[in-house]
Amino acid sequence: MHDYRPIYGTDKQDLETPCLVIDLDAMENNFDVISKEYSNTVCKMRQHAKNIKCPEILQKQIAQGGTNGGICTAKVSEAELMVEGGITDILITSQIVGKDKLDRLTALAKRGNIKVCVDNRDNLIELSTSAVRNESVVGILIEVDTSMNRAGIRNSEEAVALAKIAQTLPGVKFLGVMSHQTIDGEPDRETRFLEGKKYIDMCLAIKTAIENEGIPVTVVSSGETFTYDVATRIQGVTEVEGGTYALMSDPTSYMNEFTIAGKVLVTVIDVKGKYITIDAGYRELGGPLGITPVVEGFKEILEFECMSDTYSVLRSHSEVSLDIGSLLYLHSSQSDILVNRWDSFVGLRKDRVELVLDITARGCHN
Amino acid sequence: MERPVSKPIGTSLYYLDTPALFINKANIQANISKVDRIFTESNKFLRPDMSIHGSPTLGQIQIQADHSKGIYVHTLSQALKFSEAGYRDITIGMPVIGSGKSTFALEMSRDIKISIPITNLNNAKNISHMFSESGMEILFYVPISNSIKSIGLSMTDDITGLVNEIKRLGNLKFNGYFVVNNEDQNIIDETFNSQLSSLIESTSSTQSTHLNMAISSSNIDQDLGKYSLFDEIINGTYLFDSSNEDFDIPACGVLSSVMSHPEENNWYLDCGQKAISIDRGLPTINKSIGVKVDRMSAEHGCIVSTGTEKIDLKLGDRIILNPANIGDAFNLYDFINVIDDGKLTNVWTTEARGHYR
Repeated sequence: MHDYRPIYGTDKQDLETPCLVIDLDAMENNFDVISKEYSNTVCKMRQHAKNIKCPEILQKQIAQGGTNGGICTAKVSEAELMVEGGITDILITSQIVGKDKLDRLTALAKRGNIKVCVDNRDNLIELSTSAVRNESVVGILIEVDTSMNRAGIRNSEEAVALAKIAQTLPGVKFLGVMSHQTIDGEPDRETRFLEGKKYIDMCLAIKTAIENEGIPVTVVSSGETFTYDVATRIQGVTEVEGGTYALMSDPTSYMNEFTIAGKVLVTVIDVKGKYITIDAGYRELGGPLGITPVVEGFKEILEFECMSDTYSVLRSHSEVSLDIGSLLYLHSSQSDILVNRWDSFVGLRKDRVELVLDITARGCHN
Repeated sequence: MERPVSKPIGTSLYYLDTPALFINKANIQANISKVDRIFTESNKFLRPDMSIHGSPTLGQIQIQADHSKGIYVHTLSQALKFSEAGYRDITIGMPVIGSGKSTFALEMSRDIKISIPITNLNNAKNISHMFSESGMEILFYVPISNSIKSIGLSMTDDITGLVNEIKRLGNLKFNGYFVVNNEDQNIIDETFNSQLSSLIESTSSTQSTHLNMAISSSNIDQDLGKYSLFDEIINGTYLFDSSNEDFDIPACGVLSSVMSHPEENNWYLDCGQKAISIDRGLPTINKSIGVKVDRMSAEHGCIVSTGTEKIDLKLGDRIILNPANIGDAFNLYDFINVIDDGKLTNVWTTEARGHYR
């Protein structure tokens, strides 16, 4: 058995490619932005694990500060991995359905402070039944759909009804509300604040509706990377579910206080005039519905012409000095889609390997 | 890596934890039998593309446990995984660039027969030099392409000159040409065959020339005749052809569950881009169910009704998704649930998954 694992100290030039790399200085800068923003706030960061999938990295943000000590996961299996990795305060940000999966979730709640979001009465009752069976207690947050047009309750009546049921059921503890948000394009700071506040206010309105029924709401988990500094300025938000900021991705690079830290190192394997072939394609990079990565340092010069399973062809818009064997960095269009394809991160500092970390929650789909 | 939530052998497909990648073994075996018959009659050799699934165990069925049969994979590290499982004849799709990969190829050549692509003389010189120091030899082939979409030389390039120069370098043994021919790149026609014929004549020597061809279409039975110049056909998708109506369960798919139903005509599945990939399109759902995939985020899939009839789907109901690209979906899983007669019979690993180098 052999799996590639470069030794510490290896120079970037000597790495086998393609290779998923973390620029450690950049990632630490991103963590520092968060620790400073949240240093004196009631609202704290609850970093999302779904695009990092590695407990060691999540622990680094917790150690660097600005968090509430907890994290988010998207799936039960991710949560299981994180508990094993020493992080026990977890919010699962998807609905968990089905007896077997609920039993895994409620069993995990005996080993950690586990919270999950719900948007359906029957699901809530099944969760309670499972928790009772496992003699555990699971925290409940009601998911509010604000802008994703996805799961989540659509109005305050549904939320109030769910909160009332949750209060009566054993094995579950109603805590509050949560929401995800999204924003298109490359908004300026003013737009981010306006749009972000609008969505967070929708979540807070649900909080108020529930409180008006005499039910205390202690957790409002709302906000993402693009609203990391919006949420801290809105009273009532207790935590933000940021994930992208850690490694960053090209579409969010308009937030220039963060630096792209997650990259794929590739090698030029062919040059034919204006066409340059690199040794990474769909399998390594992903290109959901035609959205392709960006070549670092060549954003306006090199663009993806086509992708194949394991290689891609770039087209050059002007003369570039690249030969077979030249190395390039690619910035992902979506870091969680990218990271989920790889088994390890190679951490570089000043172009030398400082650490290699297994992406232990890779492929944790269920 | 993926955490397998192993259910007892004998569990119904529909009780697996989701999302779950599965294959329907009977359907797969029927596809293998069908294609074997076709190739036996055609006197051509099928070199299965195993990079699609990355599972040496699944590959065993394709080669009927005869490890002398040749296979194709994309990368050296995938080849290593298959060689560890006993495969002895492997064609590699990606060029071997740089000293690290050349060393890798050299070391692997000590144990098994590998064939690598070469498209330029400098690359050939580097590899030749490394192999000459060890007194070893490696097979090479030249990919030919009429499109920038695939790696290779054009018929207008001096292929004859390159092949003959590489042969003179020593330690590199010419094994033939390689052509990608699929829906995107339909290269084979009368003109091409005529050019190829001349090329074979000008580059053949005492060394035998094997011609490999990669096709991605699963309909390899329809027009094998037009590949008269080729000895070998590379294909992997035939394994997952689900068009055989004898089977209720497709040859492969991703089982998912309804996890949210917040409003009429919208259901959310627990399978998103991370568990099936939409790089080459959205997954499809059997038409009889009356729903289709409308969009997918990283973790969720949104399905909507395709007609006016009321659809009765509840939380927890299972939906089988057919990936737009089988290889892209397999690339996301470390385990394959093997289904026979609707029940789980085994769980196989995709050893070569994620081996990109």
